[in-house]
Amino acid sequence: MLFNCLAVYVDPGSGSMILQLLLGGVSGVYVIFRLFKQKLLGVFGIRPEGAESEMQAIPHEEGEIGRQV
Amino acid sequence: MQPDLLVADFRRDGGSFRDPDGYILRNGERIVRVVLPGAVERWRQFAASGLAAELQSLGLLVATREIFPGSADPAIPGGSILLEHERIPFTSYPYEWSFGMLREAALLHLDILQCALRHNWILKDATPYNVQFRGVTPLFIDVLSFAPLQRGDCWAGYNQFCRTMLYPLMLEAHKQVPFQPWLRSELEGIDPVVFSNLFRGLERRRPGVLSHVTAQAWLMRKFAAAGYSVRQQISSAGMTPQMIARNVLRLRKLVLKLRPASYKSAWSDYSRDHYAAEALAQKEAFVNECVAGRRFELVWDLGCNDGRFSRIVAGAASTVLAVDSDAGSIERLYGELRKEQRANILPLLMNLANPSPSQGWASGERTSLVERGKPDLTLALALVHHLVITANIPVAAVVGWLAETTRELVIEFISKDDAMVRRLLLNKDDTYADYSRAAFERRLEERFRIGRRLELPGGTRFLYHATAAN
Repeated sequence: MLFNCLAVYVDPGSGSMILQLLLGGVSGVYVIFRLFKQKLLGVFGIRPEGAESEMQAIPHEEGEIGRQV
Repeated sequence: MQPDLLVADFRRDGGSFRDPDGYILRNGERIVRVVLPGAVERWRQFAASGLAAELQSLGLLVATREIFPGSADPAIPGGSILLEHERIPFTSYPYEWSFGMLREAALLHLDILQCALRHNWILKDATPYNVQFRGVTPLFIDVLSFAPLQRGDCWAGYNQFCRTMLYPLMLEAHKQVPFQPWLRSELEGIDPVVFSNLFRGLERRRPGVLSHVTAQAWLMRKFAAAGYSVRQQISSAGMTPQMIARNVLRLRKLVLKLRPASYKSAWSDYSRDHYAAEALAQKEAFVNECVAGRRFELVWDLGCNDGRFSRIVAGAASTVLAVDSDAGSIERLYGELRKEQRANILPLLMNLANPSPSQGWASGERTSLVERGKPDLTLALALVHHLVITANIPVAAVVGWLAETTRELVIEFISKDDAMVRRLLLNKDDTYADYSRAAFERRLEERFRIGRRLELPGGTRFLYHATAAN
């Protein structure tokens, strides 16, 4: 399990984290590509191996089940 | 080993409650940090790390040691440990710093983060409140901000760094708008979406705007409603420490590029322009005689201008607070004091007609100027006419505030015949019946015992050395 040693009490901000990839140079852009490839595959119902354990869906405010990406 | 701490004297710092890993207690004059059980192991790992050793040797981190009191506050949870920090003489806040001071704090953050990344550590937050100035030297004070770098982790403090350090600096450098009023009311800093509204068209091409402001605001809007953890997704997609390091390096270059607004200071050349050399020499001698052979813990120099008198009293004081409402004066003074390597003068930007209040959560997170430490001696030279005539504060109120604040006072009264006061009255009706030398002396004598007095050459300026009457 990641993140278990560190209490991150400051919200890093979703958009700000994505931006960090853009600002991280070529390898960051590659990570973005991988990130959106996963999302794209998700649209077609294809889930990359091991994705389920790493990406937990959380319910939306309306009580729906969030997108499994 | 330290002697026992006094249990009855523990006061929890009002600004130390957000971090779940620990908090600050004040024990008399001593600063004690409680490390809660869940963070003890991480602290020990950090304390033994090459990172801690490097930061200490560079003098970037506040001096810290573990203490083992025989008795402690019963409110401290079992399994916690206690650290004692070097005491910073006077707490100050980013909204009281000049541009150069905030920039130093930002650079300190980035330097420490770069160093941490080399040692496989990271800072879990990025707030200028984790920096304090010892004189003009910035020090990082939050030893619990350090965390071991986890595989795939982002820099969680990036957004906070932008809000509280980068944007305020950009606001002044790119828009010529002082950041202090904004930071004073928004303790969490400047919101990226709001800040992006200030940059339109070609303005977005100013250094750092397109990436750190426009893109960040756009992405924040875009992902505001994401119903999944972007953090976990990025982590699994392969965020690397090298990517964080590159961003930090770019930010460092950007911060170094930012320059303050060109200050056209009304008061910066004050001493030279408007003082006959003889009057100035006599004024210096008067202040010198007031402090000669004496020792003060804390001196405030209110309306310090170029810091001439701060430097005189610094020889007789542990700490001097040099306060002025003129940004250009404080910026210049900070730069000069850095060059002089002055260890005991802290320059602060503040309008004394509206000094820093107690504010934040429960109105106790950030404390007012007076609550942070009353002075043994206050210099109020060429100040009263600004408060009375510019800010319309009655003479009695000015003297009353000083009486509640300081035990001893060196104060100057400048009569309406003086060119400087006449200038303030040029476009105003003279409604200041209480502003006369006789009325001023009467008010001063109500609250203070006046010792020495001196009329300066020219006949319009009068100095008083006064001590509290009670």
